[in-house]
Amino acid sequence: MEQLRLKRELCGECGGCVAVCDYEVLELANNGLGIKDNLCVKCNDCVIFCPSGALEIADE
Amino acid sequence: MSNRYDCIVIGAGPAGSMASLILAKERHKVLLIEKHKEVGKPLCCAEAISSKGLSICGEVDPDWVSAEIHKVLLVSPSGNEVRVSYPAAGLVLNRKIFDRGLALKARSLGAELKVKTQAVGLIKDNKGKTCGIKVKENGKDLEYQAKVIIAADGIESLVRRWAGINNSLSLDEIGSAYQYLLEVEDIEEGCVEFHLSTKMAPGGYAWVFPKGKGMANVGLTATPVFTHDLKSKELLDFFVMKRFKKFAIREWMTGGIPAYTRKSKLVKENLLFVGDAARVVDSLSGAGITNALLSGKIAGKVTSEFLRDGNVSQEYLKRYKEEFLKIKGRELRFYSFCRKIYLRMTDDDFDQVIEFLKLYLNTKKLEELTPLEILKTVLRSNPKLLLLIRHLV
Repeated sequence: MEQLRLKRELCGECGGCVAVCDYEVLELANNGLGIKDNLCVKCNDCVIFCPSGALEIADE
Repeated sequence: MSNRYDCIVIGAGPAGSMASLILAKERHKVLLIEKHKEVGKPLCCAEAISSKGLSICGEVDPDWVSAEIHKVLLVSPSGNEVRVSYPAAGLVLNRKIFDRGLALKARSLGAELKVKTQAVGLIKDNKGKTCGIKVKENGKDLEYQAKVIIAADGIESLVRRWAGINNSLSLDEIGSAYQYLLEVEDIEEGCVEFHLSTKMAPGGYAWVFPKGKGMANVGLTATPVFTHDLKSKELLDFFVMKRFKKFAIREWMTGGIPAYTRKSKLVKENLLFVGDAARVVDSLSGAGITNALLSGKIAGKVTSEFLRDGNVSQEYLKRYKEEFLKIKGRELRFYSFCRKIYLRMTDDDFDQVIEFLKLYLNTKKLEELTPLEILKTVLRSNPKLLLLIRHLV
């Protein structure tokens, strides 16, 4: 099953992925980016936006 | 300590600290919260600002500034260059010191600054009006109340979401940026470089902003709808390899640069949005520090007036939007329009524009021209761009 995954070491915590997400899947907290995977529709927008390739949709 | 404030400001970036500073100066009880453990980190910024923009802060601490900008170099896709002297054009900040300095200035005037304090929701009264925020403060769940909330929580603003404002940006309304702090040899101190090319930076550009002592912010922004699976980091790596013979990467950072659109919302009831949370960014260059400072300053001023006169209605807060857009609205709309044209330009168009600028700027004193005037002249210079304008209007 496909899932949105974060490669934390590549994430610059810029918040752009939060801003492009229509489904409130992503939240930037003081401990980094959080993903509510149950809300994700795998639209890929955050993956396309991410400047460093920190987000990907991949099999579990 | 009481949990009631006149105003709570969420986010201690330039916009939030500026608003807090103005409110504290007027002796209002202000709480400024920052989710990170340190103000100014992590950094997502190229750090350039005009001298006029920085003057919004009032007295400038020399430690805030890394380097001065005296020259601008534009490079076209074919390598054609236009290099223009522009005395006192601007500054490259040290944002870590600047952000911390501004927040501490607000604190020294009486604002209460709490770090490691993250807003996690709004509190509504029994009439549905926002009367405070829920926070996670050093791991504890707490609540603070206030008459006005100023959201300076950046591009990722959750306050917008909680307020029911359509929060998301489409992939052509955001820049995907990656930047290195590089140690380099072959740069000209004081000269900022902009490299234009649809292949190298689709829907964006690459920049080199010298910071002094052989260091430079070297970055690239691209519009995600045009990048075809290439990441901004990869595009920047190509640019760096091409531009510099020898370099050492000292830091890296990523950025999301929002474009100003008609959706950009500045006020909702007693919630005021400033800086990137309000999307008040120059859509063409992505510059946002000046507008962040100005929006924070005006939001602070209007909130102070609202708080001082207990008889005025909440409608008074809309003056923030009116006053800000009176100063910046035309410029923001114009840059937004220019961005639409920019996104349709080809490499040939960029080459022609640079060629035109070479001739045009040789006959003018740059310090007597505003960027707006130069842009208007560029648009009028090229029949294809004029056709695009006609198509877009």
